[in-house]
Order: sequence, then C-alpha cells, then structure tokens
Amino acid sequence: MSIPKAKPRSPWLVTWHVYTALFMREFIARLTQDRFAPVWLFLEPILHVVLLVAVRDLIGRGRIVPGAEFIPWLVIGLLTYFLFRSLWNRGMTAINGNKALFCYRQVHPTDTVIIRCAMEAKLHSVVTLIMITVFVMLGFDMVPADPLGAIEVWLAVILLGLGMAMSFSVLVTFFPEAAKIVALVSLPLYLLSGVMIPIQLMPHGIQEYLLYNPMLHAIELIRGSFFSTYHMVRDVELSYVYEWGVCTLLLGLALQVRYKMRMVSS
Amino acid sequence: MSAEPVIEARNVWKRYHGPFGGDWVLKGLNFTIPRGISVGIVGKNGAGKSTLLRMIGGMDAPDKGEIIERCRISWPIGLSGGFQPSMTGRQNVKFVSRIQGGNKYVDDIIEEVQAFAEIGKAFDKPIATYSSGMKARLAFGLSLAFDFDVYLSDEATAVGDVTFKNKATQAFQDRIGRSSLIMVSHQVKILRDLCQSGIFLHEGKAIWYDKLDDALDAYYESIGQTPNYNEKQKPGRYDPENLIDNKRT
Repeated sequence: MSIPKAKPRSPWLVTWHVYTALFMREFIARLTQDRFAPVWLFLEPILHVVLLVAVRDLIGRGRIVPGAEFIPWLVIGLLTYFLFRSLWNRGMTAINGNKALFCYRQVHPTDTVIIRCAMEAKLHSVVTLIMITVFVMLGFDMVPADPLGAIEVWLAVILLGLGMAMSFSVLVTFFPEAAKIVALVSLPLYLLSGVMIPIQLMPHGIQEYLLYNPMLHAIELIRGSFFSTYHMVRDVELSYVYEWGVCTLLLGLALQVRYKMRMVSS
Repeated sequence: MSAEPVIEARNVWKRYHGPFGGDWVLKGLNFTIPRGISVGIVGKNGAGKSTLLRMIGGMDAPDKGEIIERCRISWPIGLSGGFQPSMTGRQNVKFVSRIQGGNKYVDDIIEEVQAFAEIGKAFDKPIATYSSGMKARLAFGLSLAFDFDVYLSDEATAVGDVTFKNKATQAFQDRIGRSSLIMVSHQVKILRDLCQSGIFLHEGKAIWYDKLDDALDAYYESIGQTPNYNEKQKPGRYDPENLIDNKRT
C-alpha cells in the first residue's frame, strides 16, 4: 500500500476531484480524438465564413447589413452560434459517451454533462479570442465597442447551451431517436437565428415569430455590443436568453435527479 | 467479528424492465455480511449474482428494500466497464486515482498498479487493444491500490492465468482482517482460496452459509449434479486435492 489510508472526503471535495479528473480526461479525448481535431476548431468557422461570403457574392445580394461590415458581422454570429451548437450537441452525448465511468460511484451522469459543456465553452472562448485577434490584425473592424456586454451575452449563450444539453442528455439516453430530431432542427435554427441572413430585412410579421428563438436574441445582442452603430432587431432582450437558459437548466437537472439511477444502470 | 455488519440487505427486490415487461430476478433478499468475512456468491446463470453485486457497488438500485453499507466499497471489478477503451491503461489509472482522491499519489499508484498487473509496454497502449486477461489484471491491480474495506469482484479472476490468480490470492491473504472480498465466480478453487462464507442465490432468494462448502453443496444439489470429488482425504469436500477436475489440470 503506497497511499495512506483514505480519509473521508466531504461531498464538495469529492465533486471537485471528479470534476478535475473528468476535465483532464475530456480535454485529452477531445483534442486527440483524431489528428484533425485541433485544426478543425479553427477551420470550421473560417470555412463557413468563406463559403457564405462566396454564396452571397454569387447570388449578387451585396453585403448590406444595417450599421455593420458584413464579414465581421458574419464571423461574430457564426462563432456565437457554433458555441451554442457544440455545447448542445456535444453536451447532449456526454452521458452516452461516458457510460463506462458510472461504475465509479463518485461519477454522476450530471457531472459528465457539466464538464463537457465547461470544456467546450472554454475551447470556444479561446478559439473566438484568437479569431477576433486575427481578424483585427487583418484590418477588419472587430474590436468590441462594449466588451463587457459581449461577455455577458457570451455567458448567457453558455448557460443556454448547458441547459439544452442537460435536458437533452436525458432524452437522448432513453430515446436515441431524439438525436436525429436535434440534428434536423439545428439547420433551420442556423438560418432562423440570423447568422447569415439579416433578420432586419424580413417583414415585421415574421420577425414577431422568429423572436421566440432565444439564439436570435443572443446573436443580435452580441453583434450590438461589438458594433456601436449596428441596428439590432427590435425587441431583443438579454433577459429572454437567460430565462431560457435557467428554465432548460432547471428542467434538465430535475430530469437528471429523477432518472439518475436508470441512466447509471443502463 | 465486530458487532455491526458492514453490509446489510433488507428485503431487496429487483426486476428488469424490458420492452416486454420483466420478471422479478431477486425476490426479497435478507442477509448481513459481517466485517472481515469474504463471501462467495454462487448460483445459476441469470440467478442475479451480478445484479446483486452491482447493487452493493452502488451502480444500480433495488426496486424495493434497501442495502445498507457501513464501509468503503470498491467498484465491481469485472471484465467490462470501468475503462475507456480509447484511452491507454496509464490514462485510465490516472483518472481513477484522481476521482478516488489520490491526486498527490498518482505516481505511486501507477507504479503499484504496473507492478501488480505486469502487462509491460501495453500499459501505454489503448485499453481496446487489451486481451480480457490483461484487462482483468489491470482492473484488479487498480482496485488493490486503494484501501477499500470490501472489494467486489465479478468473474474478474476467471480469465487470469495461474500467476495472476496466485497474486490475487496473495494480495487478499495479506489484508485479512483489514479488507474482505465479495466475489461472483464459477470457479470452485478460487472461491475456496479466497472466501470463507457463501451466499447461494436460488429462485430469487438468498441463502447465507457460514461455510462456503455448504453453499457450494447447495448449489450443486440445485443443478442436479454432484461435483467430482474423491473420498475425503483432506478436510473439506471441495479442497482442490479432493477434486478430480483440479487434479487433472
């Protein structure tokens, strides 16, 4: 026996140990899952920007966005949307991916979702900072006008992504079909969140319905805090994003508590 | 033997919910396991041995009743689960050390596990490339690196070779009085080497035997076989010396 007799740990300490261990494990798994993974983190948003700019030039729509340059406007929207999407999609599959670990009673299914979301949020924050720096050095006007406001929206998106991941992780564990529905929904959500099409150009009657989507609020708000002259869609509110985040998170946690044993034993 | 049992099952019921309903597997188990006593669980395939072990290990919950635990219990050491197949043995060992609170001793634990498992260079290869024997060695060594009061083993010894079995036996004999073992196995020899008492699971009930041999007797009787043993040469009918099967091997 090389280690001394273990002392009982407080629940907080156990949780902390599990979180740190899971975090390191997830990081290694995420960045070494294939040879392409670290590159892809940067390449994906860049490819999307290039593609979307090309498409817009091709259909001759011009690059008119009220009060902002097109490319910085697009990049900010894309990065915010990607943050949400990967929190949701990857956090959702955390429980299935870590099934082997539930034989250690310290590890709860909830922990794996939280840690995967925390890791994705960190990775995407770093990627975003680097991308913004690169674009500023390339001469684009991407210095945020209101950095604290931007961070606030960024955190709201993380909360929303965590909430969605928390709820859907339970759903996906018991109904694998749900993953297909999520994949089906994410494309229209990409379009309807105003990532590539300015929602301002749509008729007011349609805007009213589009505003039920919290990601539209978040993306408009983060653009508003980056570009001081930008005209956001009317009636966007940060509190709406937080409300969605808190509600989905609470729903998810309730599901996690209710179905914990079934998830561990399945 | 201390007065307070370390594990106590009170009216434990368990059923499996499948798409076509489910039958009760365990129907009201009642038993207590005293401190420091190693127990072998015997029974037919599907009698609920592994299920019982998982419930003791906290991986599953009974549908009715409760299992009271008053000690540190290891995770069930089995052939499946516990390891991420895409990660190396070393990474998995590090992870488990960390969640068990051994952050400061990770290097010591790795050394100890390596010494026990003796899998050489494979320690730095992904678990997916391991044979079942190597997995069992690693899993056993890993759990032995921590000071549990009770170790749970689910057929982990079945795939090991002779040296591994000797090592496992030795490890548990070293900690007699400190830790005990609850094991599920169909191998009479290793059960006899490591356990004193037995639980026989039969038709959803658990019958406790103070002597393992009595549990084995009841088990063999229930499957309508008499084990091949010679006339008593040594005390205990299942002593390896008396078993014709074991003599041959």
